[in-house]
Amino acid sequence: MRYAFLDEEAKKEIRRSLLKAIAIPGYIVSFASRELPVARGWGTGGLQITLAMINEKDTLKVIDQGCDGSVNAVNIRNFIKSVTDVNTTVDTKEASIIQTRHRIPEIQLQERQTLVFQVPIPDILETVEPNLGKQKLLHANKDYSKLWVLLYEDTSQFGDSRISNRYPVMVNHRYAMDPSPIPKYDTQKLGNCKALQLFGAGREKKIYAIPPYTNVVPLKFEDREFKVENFEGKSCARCGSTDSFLDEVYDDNGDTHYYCNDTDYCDSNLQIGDK
Amino acid sequence: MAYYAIKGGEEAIKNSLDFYGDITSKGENLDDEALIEALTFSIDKVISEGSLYSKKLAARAIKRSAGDMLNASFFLRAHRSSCQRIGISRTIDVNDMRLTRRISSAFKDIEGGQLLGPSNDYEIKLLMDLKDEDVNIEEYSNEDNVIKSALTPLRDDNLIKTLKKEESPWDITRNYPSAPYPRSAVLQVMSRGESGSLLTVGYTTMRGYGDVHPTIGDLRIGELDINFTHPFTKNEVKIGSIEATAVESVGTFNQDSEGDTKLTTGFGFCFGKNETKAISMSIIDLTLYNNTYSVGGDHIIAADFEMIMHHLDGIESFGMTNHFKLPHYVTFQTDYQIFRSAQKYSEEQKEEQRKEQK
Amino acid sequence: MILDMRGVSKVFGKFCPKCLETTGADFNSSICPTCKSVVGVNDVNLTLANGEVLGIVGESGSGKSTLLQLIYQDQEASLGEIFVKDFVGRDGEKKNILDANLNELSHLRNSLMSMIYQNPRLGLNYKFSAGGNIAEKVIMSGNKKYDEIRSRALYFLEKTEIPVSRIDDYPEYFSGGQQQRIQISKALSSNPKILLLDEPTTGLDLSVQAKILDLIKELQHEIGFAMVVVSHDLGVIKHLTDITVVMKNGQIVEKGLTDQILEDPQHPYTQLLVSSIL
Repeated sequence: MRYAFLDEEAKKEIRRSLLKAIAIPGYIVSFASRELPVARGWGTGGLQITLAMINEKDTLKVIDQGCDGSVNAVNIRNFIKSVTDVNTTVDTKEASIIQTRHRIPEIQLQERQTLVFQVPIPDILETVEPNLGKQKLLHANKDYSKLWVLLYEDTSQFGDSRISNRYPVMVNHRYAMDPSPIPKYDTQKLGNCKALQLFGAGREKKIYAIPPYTNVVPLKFEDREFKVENFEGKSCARCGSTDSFLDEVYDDNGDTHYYCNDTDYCDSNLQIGDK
Repeated sequence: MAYYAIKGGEEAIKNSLDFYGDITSKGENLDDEALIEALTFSIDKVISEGSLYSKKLAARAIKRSAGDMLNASFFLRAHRSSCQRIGISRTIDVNDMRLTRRISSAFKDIEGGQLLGPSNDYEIKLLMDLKDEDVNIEEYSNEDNVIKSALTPLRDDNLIKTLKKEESPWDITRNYPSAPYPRSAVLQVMSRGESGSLLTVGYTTMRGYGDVHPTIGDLRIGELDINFTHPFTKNEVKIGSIEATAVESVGTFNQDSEGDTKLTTGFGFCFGKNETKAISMSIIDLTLYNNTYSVGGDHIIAADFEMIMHHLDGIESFGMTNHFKLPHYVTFQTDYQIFRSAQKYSEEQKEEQRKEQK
Repeated sequence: MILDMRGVSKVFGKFCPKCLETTGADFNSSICPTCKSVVGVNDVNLTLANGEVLGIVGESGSGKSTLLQLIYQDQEASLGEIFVKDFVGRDGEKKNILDANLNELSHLRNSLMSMIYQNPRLGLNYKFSAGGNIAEKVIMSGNKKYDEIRSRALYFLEKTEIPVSRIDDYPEYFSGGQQQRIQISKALSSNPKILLLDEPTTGLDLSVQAKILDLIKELQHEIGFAMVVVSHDLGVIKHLTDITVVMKNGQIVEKGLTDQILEDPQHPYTQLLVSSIL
């Protein structure tokens, strides 16, 4: 088996697409997405980016819903390890490549780290215009009026946008971008991030990127607050954290408990506590 | 008390695969060759949707999937991805097919006759056995039957609309096009598309969502040789042969790009024996390139290139549909919070209105 | 000079060298005898001053609506130049708006100009509420403050006598006359310098027509934008415009002060039109 499963042509193609995407922050680049032994919709985009980039010196972390032990993360991590024999870790600080589904780690990322997002739907305009040809024109025209009117209508009816995750952002003052289904809580971490952020949609065959230190802001009215998920009055039952995204879990007695969604963050809090 | 609601994933996966292995192992002892012969239509569906002509691999994939054909096709696609591309064979002409079956609904009789071949068209679908009928075979020949398409006379008379020829065919597995989509890419998507998806879309045209009025001009099943130029000797050699189905449908007529009135046709083609799929494909091809304004209602799916190019691939739709089983508790948490906020806002608005009314 | 059109033509079809010379008012035909193309607009020259109201009158097929569409760029002109005040290229020199790039076109259609169509279906998005439609125009002209957007929508709805409580209703639930008024609100909400109106009251009840014409006239006096009104109805032209041009077979056959044209038409075709008023 070839190193990292993909043939050299495929890797070259993906790398070129990545370079183009990084050169134009937030712009969607088409690429020849290969079929993998993992199903479409299950992370083939993120996987192809990781496989095209990874080498023996890397340390890989894979999370799904913030957790390294989540079934999908385990599966993907095992697959990548089996075709590269790379070092893997659950420690966010140690990883050079972090492949993630639906969350950004709580611990701030540093320069030289790469965050690879698994993306189901690459174009934020899909919510208001499903036709791909029309989407391209709208992006070219910087015409995001449909997104703005949607925001207006939601605000007049419900006081705020109805969008819960995949909240639209403006990248580098130019392109409206789909940040993948991350919570609004994480949307704020996209801007001015020290790490490289790459987005891969395998099924839709698209790649886009946010280079480090890029301006990224959520699409919102100037005179309205960007409200994020609220965990007021709650804390992690395991490490006591009051400043992380919490999971609501029901135990066998029907009682509700809250735990840090980012399991590595929780672990490291405990370690700090121990010290 | 388990904090690790989803941790312990490794073990859970292992156990799950083990359980699944119990199911798929039941077919382990089925002989590949026997499967290829006995379940020939299943095998053909898998090589077509898997986009890889290997009946042996298809047999293995079907056993590994315990009969889930789409899953089996997925195995073949993944395998195809790992195969090295050596080169491109000579373009096949379906007129060279060694026929086992060839019919034309358009004509009562045609050169070479209506060769029914093995077909279940006239099968009465009763699961119980009927009396054994005596079979009388008059003539029997082992010679190759190669007959040109029944539409050839019409083509020779220049009555059939031809579309603009592309310089070189697109390859959707190397590069996925954006609109306007080259016809070679459109045909590739359909040829390896999921049979049921093509059936549904084709069916919509038959119920009024499209003005095509198809008649099957030529439906053929048989063997085609694959010829390849040897990379070193530069000689052309036959490297094998494939079984395939090809259908040419004739539609209505319209004006071509030169302003001449011509008959419209559509082409369907797939690996193995799959008449339903090839017929559907030819009708969708007809509809895509001959959409008219006056009939068919507002939105004709079969004439919409975006619908065809992005919704017919079984591996993609199957993956996306099933991905909803993956954990989505973070996104659900966000949905729930937004819902609660909106609820609160609505109630506050109502309260204010009530106060104003007093 | 707020609008300056020079040698503007629109040909539907092959467009051979004979098209413009062999069609027009004198030939009584818009169809080129050589190549069968249809000459919709034939070499039109027209200017509009700040705050001026220009009427374009003619029968169906005269090219008046097409001319408007060329200015707003709903259709692509075949030939000619159009200059709009303050619309300059990168070099600071005035630029032909027909050469505008996508960004510039967006600015033209969202900030400098607005169009009101005969059929509100063309000017409104029926998937947005009445307020949403106006919001779209306000947002695209640069405002991203919700409260301001909302109050602007309320302001114009009130101005056009649409009950403000219905701001969140969808267009299909309003009458034809009301839909037209919502369209007017939308068109004005971006503070355009030039308002283009294509048969704005055709198809509405006479009483509704009168109200809308009065409204447009009042708003024009109040805000002071320049206006180009296309109509086959001389009554509308008389009510709204200062200057009128008469079009036939894609060409301008007469131009002058509205009152003069209606009282003392010179061109035989204009005389025919004026005399046909019931």
